[in-house]
Amino acid sequence: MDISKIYGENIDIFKKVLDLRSERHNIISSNVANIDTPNYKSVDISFEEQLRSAADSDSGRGLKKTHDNHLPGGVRDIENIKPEINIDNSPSGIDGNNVDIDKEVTKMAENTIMYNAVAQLIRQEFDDLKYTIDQGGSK
Amino acid sequence: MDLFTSLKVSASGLTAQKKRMDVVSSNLANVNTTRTPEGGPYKKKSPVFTAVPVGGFDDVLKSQTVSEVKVTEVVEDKREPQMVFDPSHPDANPDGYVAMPNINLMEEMVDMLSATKAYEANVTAIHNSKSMAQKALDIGGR
Repeated sequence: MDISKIYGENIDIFKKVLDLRSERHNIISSNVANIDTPNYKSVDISFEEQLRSAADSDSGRGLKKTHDNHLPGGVRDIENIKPEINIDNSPSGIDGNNVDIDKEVTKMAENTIMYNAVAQLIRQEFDDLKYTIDQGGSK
Repeated sequence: MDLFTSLKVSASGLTAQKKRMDVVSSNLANVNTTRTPEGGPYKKKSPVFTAVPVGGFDDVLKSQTVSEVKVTEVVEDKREPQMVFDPSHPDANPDGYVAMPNINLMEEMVDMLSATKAYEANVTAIHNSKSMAQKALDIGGR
């Protein structure tokens, strides 16, 4: 059964966003931990563009429509989104390290907020579902 | 969805900055030390930080982008000691000069501030990890 029938249309995107955000959190933590490591370059990943296009487009459709009466088919290709790795090559200090602590801490705050927001959206989906189930049984 | 890697990485940051603080404290405490077990004045010590990629062979993304930090060694300053003119000092050489540790107080203080700030940033990272893990647990609901 298609999971989106129970949990809402966008659960696949939500799942992927949580995975991507937690990967990004690992990476930012790594930048913070290595703030004094010689020759360490700050790393980040980006995935917003890919998420947006995968969510919007028909590009993931597996089935071709050769007649107008054919039903649309196929799934959005959310699973295979690969984040793009960006190694920062801004100028570094004398020891070759280019981590900017203020930038990293700010990025981390933003990333955490986004993660928590999506987790909350998922929570809401489940709560709504539970409510519906509960209400269905009450007199 | 893995939030424990970030905890491990941040913990390594805390440990490394702590070790750096230990070294700074040692340098500050020994700013006037003229006798050491190896002979000669105390030599300024510096920690060497190295990035260690996490992730096994199965996770290519992680091993390229996420690294712990480790203090792999503590090196001694190879510069010549400072020669200070003080004939009354018990360790003065025949010319009246004493070999003193080559420790600059300002350098050490700045190092200490930097270590403290980095330590706090790692603590912030851990708070964020905890917050995200908690929110994820909340998905299950009451």
